Amino acid sequence: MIRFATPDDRPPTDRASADGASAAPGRPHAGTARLVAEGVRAWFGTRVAVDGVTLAFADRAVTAVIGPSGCGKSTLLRTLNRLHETVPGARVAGRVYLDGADVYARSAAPADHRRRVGMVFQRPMPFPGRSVRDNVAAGVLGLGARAPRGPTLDARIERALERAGLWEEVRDRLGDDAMRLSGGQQQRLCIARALVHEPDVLLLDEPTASLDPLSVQRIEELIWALRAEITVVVVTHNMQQAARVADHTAFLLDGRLVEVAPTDVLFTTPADARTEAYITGRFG
Amino acid sequence: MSDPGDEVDELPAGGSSTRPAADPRPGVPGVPGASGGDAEGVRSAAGRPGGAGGSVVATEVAASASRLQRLAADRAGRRARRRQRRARRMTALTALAAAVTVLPLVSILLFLVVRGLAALGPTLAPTGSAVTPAAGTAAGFGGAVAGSLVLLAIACGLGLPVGLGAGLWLAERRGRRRAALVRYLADVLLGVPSIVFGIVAWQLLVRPVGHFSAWAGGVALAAMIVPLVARTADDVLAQVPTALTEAALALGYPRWRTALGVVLRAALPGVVTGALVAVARVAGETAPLLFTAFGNQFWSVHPGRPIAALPLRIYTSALSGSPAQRAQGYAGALVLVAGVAVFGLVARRATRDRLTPATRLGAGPLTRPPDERHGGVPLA
Repeated sequence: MIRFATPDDRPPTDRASADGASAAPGRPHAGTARLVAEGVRAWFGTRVAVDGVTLAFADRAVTAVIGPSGCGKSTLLRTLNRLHETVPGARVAGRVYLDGADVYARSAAPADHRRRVGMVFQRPMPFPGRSVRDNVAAGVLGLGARAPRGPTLDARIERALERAGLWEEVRDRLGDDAMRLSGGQQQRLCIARALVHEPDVLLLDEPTASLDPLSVQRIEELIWALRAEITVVVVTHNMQQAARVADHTAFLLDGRLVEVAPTDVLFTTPADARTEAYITGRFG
Repeated sequence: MSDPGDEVDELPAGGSSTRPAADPRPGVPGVPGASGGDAEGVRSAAGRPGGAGGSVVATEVAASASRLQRLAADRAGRRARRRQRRARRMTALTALAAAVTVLPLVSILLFLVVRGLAALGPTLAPTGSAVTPAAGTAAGFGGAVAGSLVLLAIACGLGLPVGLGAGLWLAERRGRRRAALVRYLADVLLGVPSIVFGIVAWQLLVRPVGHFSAWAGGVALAAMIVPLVARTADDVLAQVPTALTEAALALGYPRWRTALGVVLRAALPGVVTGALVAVARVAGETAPLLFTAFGNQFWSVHPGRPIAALPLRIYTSALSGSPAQRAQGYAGALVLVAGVAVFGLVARRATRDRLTPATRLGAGPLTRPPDERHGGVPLA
């Protein structure tokens, strides 16, 4: 799966700059970055979790963010949908652009932004006490009176469940309590809930860390399918997973971006000695 | 030592191969099984008796070893039995404590049923027309029931929203200094004697107006409800995992909708229980009403006038010299206790049904509009 790196004989390039957008061959739409982080810093109180990361996330591609525990990869992800700032004492600096618009601009509404950037967390977190259907519908209820309803909503629920690969399994049990689904199904339900807004970006924070191998495989297949339509960013501590699903992989260490490259390049011929040390299992 | 039933009373006399399996904790220091292990060690060192080349010495060693083993087993059995006896004693003590807990309630209920039921028949009818009862008889306390309902309606109308709002604020501002201060003050308020609430309400709402009123009584009760509801709501909301809040925020829920539609909803059973406890508690309060609602011998539900209340009526009946009045007091107390109990049961049933998702929520076809069920604020 991972071909381990031999000492690199390519000239060292500054691949840590915003060239995550380098075009992936063979797919015409892949490559252009709609989501760009520029000099992002994030604090918890006085502790720096992300220390100046500049990274472009290629559209219609999967970007994996890897790194040892505590390297700031989850925090980086959470700055992308403005979730980091909801933690008491947390602070963000730098810029994040979605389609060229600064999402941290004073006029930008966090809630509007978050609807365009779906997020799935490590632990499946369906809303308790709601049916499968209502959980997916809950995705759009944040819109309040503007939320779609009736047949429009039904169609969107069905489409979201189909995209999450769950429709066939739950079409006859939409009224069941979401908590009765298996862990893997719950996670796919959460993905469906995030997809019901038809977001442009999907952020996944270690989405398979609490799942069984079969469910992991299903989610990875799902990630692979979603990348045909949207920008996908996956934070994972599982390098095999990054190698399996990601077009590009970024390696973070101590809140800084060490290296970003097409996945096969990063895992075979990393430019940075620290990347090589990490992917060969010497630390982390 | 978790389960005394695990203890082996008799170590098996068979070969060494079965011993470790029979002993639940081989080699644990201080456990009888450990000494049995020693004896076995001696035996296996000496070789198996009766085996090829087994000597007399070996046989004797084996015999004393098995004696040792039996002694150890006896001791283990005694200890196990002692442990079991002690476990049974402690269980019995806790059961006794539980019985003592419910004893007052049961005895009060029985007492009230016996004494009150007799007086209930003739007096339950709302006879409280504007007639002073003839000597030796008593006016019905229908007026007191109605008055209590008016007072509770005022108290809930004012106290529940404020308490719930304060609880939500406390939960949202968790970890900040101002929230900690408010939380502390709410705790202080919980400990304030109820008559003080009455004095404050009297000072603010009776003295300036010049007469007692249901408003003043209702406000005094509302002031008692607020910290109770706020603190229980705060505690229950704190149990809702942050991950759930974040999941809602990540879906583009505004903060307020996250708090009301997701967090409060998840915590609703606890919040409702807290509100019920608060209402049930103030329903029986007499002290704050003494010089606010004041009581009224006549039928009145006018919130601007003095109003009767069940606890006040029980209080005056109990002080009365007339046996008929006292009997009526028992009947009033029975009605109050039964009312609080029924109220609690009904409300609990209602919330449980709302929160049993498989039976109620979303069991319908796809086309049912979901916002009917969870678009807005769950609590009225």
